[in-house]
Amino acid sequence: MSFLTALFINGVLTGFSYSLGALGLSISFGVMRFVNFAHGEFLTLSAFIAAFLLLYFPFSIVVFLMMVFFSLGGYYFYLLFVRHLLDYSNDHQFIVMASVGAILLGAQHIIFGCDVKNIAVSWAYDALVFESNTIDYSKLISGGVGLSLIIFTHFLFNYTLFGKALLATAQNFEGAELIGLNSKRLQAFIFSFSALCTAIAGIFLATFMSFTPYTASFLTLLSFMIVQLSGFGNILGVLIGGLLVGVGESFASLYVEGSLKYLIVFFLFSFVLFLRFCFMRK
Amino acid sequence: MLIVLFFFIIGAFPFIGSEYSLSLLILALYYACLGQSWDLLKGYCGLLSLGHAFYGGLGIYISLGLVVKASLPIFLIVPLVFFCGAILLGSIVFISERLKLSDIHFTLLTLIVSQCALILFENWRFLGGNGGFFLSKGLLSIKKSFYFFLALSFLIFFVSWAILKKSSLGLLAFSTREDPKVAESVGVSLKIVRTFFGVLSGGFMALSGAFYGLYQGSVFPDQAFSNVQSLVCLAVAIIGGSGTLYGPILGGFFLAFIGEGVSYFSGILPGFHTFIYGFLLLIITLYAPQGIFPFILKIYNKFFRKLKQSE
Repeated sequence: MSFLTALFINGVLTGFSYSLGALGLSISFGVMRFVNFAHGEFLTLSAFIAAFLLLYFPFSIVVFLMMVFFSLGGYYFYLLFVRHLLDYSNDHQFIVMASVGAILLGAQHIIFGCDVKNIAVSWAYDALVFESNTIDYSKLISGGVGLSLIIFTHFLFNYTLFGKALLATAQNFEGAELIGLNSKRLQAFIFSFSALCTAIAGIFLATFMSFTPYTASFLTLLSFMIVQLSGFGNILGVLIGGLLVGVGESFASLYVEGSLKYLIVFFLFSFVLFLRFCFMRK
Repeated sequence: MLIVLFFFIIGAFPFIGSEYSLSLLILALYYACLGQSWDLLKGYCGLLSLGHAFYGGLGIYISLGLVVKASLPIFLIVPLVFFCGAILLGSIVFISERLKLSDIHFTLLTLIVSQCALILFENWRFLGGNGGFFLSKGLLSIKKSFYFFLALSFLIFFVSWAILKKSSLGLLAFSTREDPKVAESVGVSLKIVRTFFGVLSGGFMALSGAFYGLYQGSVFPDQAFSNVQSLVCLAVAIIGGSGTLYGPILGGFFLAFIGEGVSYFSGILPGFHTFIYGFLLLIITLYAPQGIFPFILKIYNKFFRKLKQSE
């Protein structure tokens, strides 16, 4: 395998993990039209709690516990808080969720500190070796989880009756109520599913990316851009956005050093979004 | 009357107050400037910007860089800084209006720009990179004069806001805030009005950033361009009262004093600032979206009415 192929495959796998990170936002923002500006903070929150739980439990149990925590938390967060925000304008939601994000950011800084952490898994230092090139297991596993979860979500929303009911409540709350669906319960379910995806994404992103509480703003922006590019409610489109980021990042690291590669990724993204606005206007 | 007294106190303060209270007052003035210039976009035109710290940070970097690397005099730096901030924010608003971006996309655009600036300045070795950029020692002795510059530009802008708000241009901007579609259909050019306010907002932001940066004498990219700093701009205007003349000033003083009080704890609990700001903003946006200014106005009116009645 040549160097460029290995670079490309690494980029694709990283990209799938980023798409996994954006999946939770794609469900809450794309399907429910709720501008969850605290998405990055929720991702780092899940990573921090998972890193803490890993001290006491094995990895599989931690993942299971986090899924339970976040889906229950998302369910009640919707019923107590988000439900009342859905009638507000987008700007108002932005401001409210930005302040929720600031609260979470401050709380994470106070509780977990500002050290650079990552989730130490048993396969963190193993890699597939092809001649002189390597592909990390951590990236392979995160990318695989991302790909499978996104395809699962796509089928859930588009090919099952339950998923169609979910979409219907998200698109027209009262209309769905009229045909006999329990809109409130179903929307709470969508939000808790999005929180569950966020929990998984936070854990698996943190297996190959080190993080601090302040990584959150970067993750929020990245997820929003991926969702913007994929279009509203298009779950499979998240994969394409993620691929663009991942491949762009890994090829940009050939030419520039450090965090400058993200600058190139942002420029690339803005350019693609610009083209999309010029030629694919709804 | 009250506002004249207020400006008199601000002007006379460096001769009577201590070093510490002066630094607190300049922080409050800087916050008030941030809030006012943020409010020019949101409170007047209805455009929500979440990356407003970028223009302040840009002003700090340009002024410090020109003073240290090119040793330009101050009176040349001032128009240059204003020009840079104005051109950048003006062009962003213009592009978004030209492409007819929706509100979410405009907000994301401002966010992308500020994040790009953060990455750029963190990696720019010429301007200090991650380690920050410092003023040379000679200029630190005259740092008190930058307080006057900031206060003066604050006064000038305050008066021009007061005039602008009453003028027809201010009314045009308010019409674009209330309902862009109706405003456009009666012949208001969203592009021109909003770009004008964007230019003013960016320029004023960069200018106040420049004076504050020269007073401070140092700048760090992760502080100047962070999302928390953008959140402060937003919090100042919204807590004070968005769309009002005195609201951001009130909010600026309020947040600066709260922040100073909180920093007593933040030695033990770093990140407490962010927590408190977010908490205040959440409470205000959920329970008093008009901010604290109308609330205070009500109390003021009640109090004076009572005085008049007792007379």
